[in-house]
Amino acid sequence: MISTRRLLSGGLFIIGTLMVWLALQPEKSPRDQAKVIAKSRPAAASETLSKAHSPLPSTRSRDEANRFAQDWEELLRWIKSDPSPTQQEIRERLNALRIDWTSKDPQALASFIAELFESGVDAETGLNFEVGLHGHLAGWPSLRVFLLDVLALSDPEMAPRIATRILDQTASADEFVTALRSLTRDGMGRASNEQLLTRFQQMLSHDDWQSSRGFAEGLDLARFVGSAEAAQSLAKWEGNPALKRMALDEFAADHPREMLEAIADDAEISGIQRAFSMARADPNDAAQLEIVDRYLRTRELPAAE
Amino acid sequence: MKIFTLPGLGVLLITSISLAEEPKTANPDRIGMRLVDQEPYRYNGAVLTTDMRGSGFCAWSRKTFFSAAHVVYGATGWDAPPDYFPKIHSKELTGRFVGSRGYYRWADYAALADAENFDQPEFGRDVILAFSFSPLITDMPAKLNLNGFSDLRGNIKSMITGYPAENSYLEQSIDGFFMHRTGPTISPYQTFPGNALTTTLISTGTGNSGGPVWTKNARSEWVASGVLVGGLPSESVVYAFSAQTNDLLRAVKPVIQKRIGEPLALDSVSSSSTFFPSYYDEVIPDGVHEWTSFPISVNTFPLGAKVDKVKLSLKILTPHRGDLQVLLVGPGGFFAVIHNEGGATENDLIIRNLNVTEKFTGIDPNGIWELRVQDRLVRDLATIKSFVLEIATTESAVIPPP
Repeated sequence: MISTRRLLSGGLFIIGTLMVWLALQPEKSPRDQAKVIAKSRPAAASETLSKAHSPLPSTRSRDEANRFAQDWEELLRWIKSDPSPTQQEIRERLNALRIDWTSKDPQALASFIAELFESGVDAETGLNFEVGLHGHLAGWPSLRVFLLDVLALSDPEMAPRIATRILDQTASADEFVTALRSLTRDGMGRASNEQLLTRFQQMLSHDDWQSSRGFAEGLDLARFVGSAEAAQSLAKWEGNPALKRMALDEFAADHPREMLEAIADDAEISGIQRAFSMARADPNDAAQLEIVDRYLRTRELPAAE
Repeated sequence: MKIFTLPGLGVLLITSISLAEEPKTANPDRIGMRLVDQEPYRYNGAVLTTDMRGSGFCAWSRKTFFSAAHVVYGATGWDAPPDYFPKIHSKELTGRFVGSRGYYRWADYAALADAENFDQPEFGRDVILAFSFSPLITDMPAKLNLNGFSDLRGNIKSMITGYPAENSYLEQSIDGFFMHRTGPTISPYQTFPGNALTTTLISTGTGNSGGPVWTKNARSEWVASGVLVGGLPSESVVYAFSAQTNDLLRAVKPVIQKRIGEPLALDSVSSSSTFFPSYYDEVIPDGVHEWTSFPISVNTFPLGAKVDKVKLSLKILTPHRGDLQVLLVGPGGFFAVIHNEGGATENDLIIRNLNVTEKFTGIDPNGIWELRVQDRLVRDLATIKSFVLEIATTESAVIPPP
């Protein structure tokens, strides 16, 4: 006959086991506001959560990781071969590889790119940095830039986390700008405008990057963010005047209202640049009209302006 | 002599000529209101694009109507699927209309129309079969006469109906959207390139393009034997139906079924958009942060075609849609976030015709498209039932000569 004490201890053991098992289960939040808040955390904060929930890599992912590695080795051998492939051949092969890789497991792809980037292996392609469809590249000056371009098309949650690490480390303007692309995609992992502007300032602070094509394209980030603060960041930049003028003009064309707000708050935007921006104002917007009206009544405007 | 299409508004000739004698040709007469619901008038409808006006008629299926290709093909290429105003008979465009979801046409029409060939072979291909996902009329559609091409040449009585905006023979404008009939009359039809026939002594006017040419079958029923596509003040050109028309019917058939079928690839036919359906009954791995992929292989578009429109319809059954993340990924990795764990208190994720064109414009449509799904939280199983991808492309690029 089983004693009451043994029954009790057995029951307690079962309850204890059950509690431990329940504690180990991924949390199923109730359908309330708390869950929504938890889900909307920024990408950086969600890293712990993702790792805690991530299952072991599937066989498919391992197979595909091997495939990526094999493709990469072949690519390196081919690009360094003698005679070297033409630029057209390189462009076509990288395009084809991008199409192939992005049809594979996106998480395995993101992980593979992260590992490869850490290894530091690279090769020049001879291609210019060239922006193509939907902000992705049609020309990659190096294989590392190519990897970062593909990264932005891999898993939308993992890519920004990996790109963030690269943004902290890279010394290349082209790599920096391409990595930024992963932080600007809609949906999971998009960085906040404040985070993007911080990265923008980081980019502008590199005087040695100003001759890079990637850097020139990166000035578009201000237009992407589209706030008065973004325009002010650009206006305060003491870099290449031609690039700056072009970037501000494009900003004003897309965001006339924010540009006028920036002008109203900041004396940095003046002269011809201010005149150009005023000319972009939308007369159907009363707020813009008022700023322009005030501007035109300013007596001390230089004649050229 | 160059024969003109009868498309739409254009600049109407307002000046009228007064004729002391009776017209020598059959001219459009406005029908009485009581006839609108009778055969064959009840099959008619006005066809409107953003800047063109034409005629059409519901035939073969309650969800399809025919019109002329040039009503939706202009200087800027193929227009968006037009709106259809069934049985309209009033001064203004009022009442119920149905937005068509797409149209099928002969693949070579655009090239023929752009070629400025004096023989005007485009009239022999000047037809579209448009479709909607909802019925255009309440009763049965008109019957098609696929012997129209031979019957019309047999000196039988025919009648044209539609919505002319002018009487080109009398050079008089016609206000409003009133249904008109030209005939019935016996008029000899002569061959013209392709499936086109030309006939003298029948006149219509701009706006009537796409209207049906009726003949009677052995049971004395009105049947649609062709489509009015062009003319001069005293003669008309029609696209006549033949067995070849079956290709258009076969192409549109999968799309208008209750459960959209696989697209049928026919070299002779192209369409404003192509539907790629996938049906499943598959549970998404529960609480797993890995993507489950549902691929569709697309290879029906010509070399050089670029994506112009992408829409997605999707059905995932779940007691808790907030668990789900869904992406649509196109060839080359371009993707759109379809669902990102929104709707914490709601169930099934059912999306109809979500326009995600912006994320895919200009890419090569051929390749693997994938729906990627994650059910990120445990419990509340999600089951994918279907998704339908709709892709439209620009005209294919011209391949340079060798």
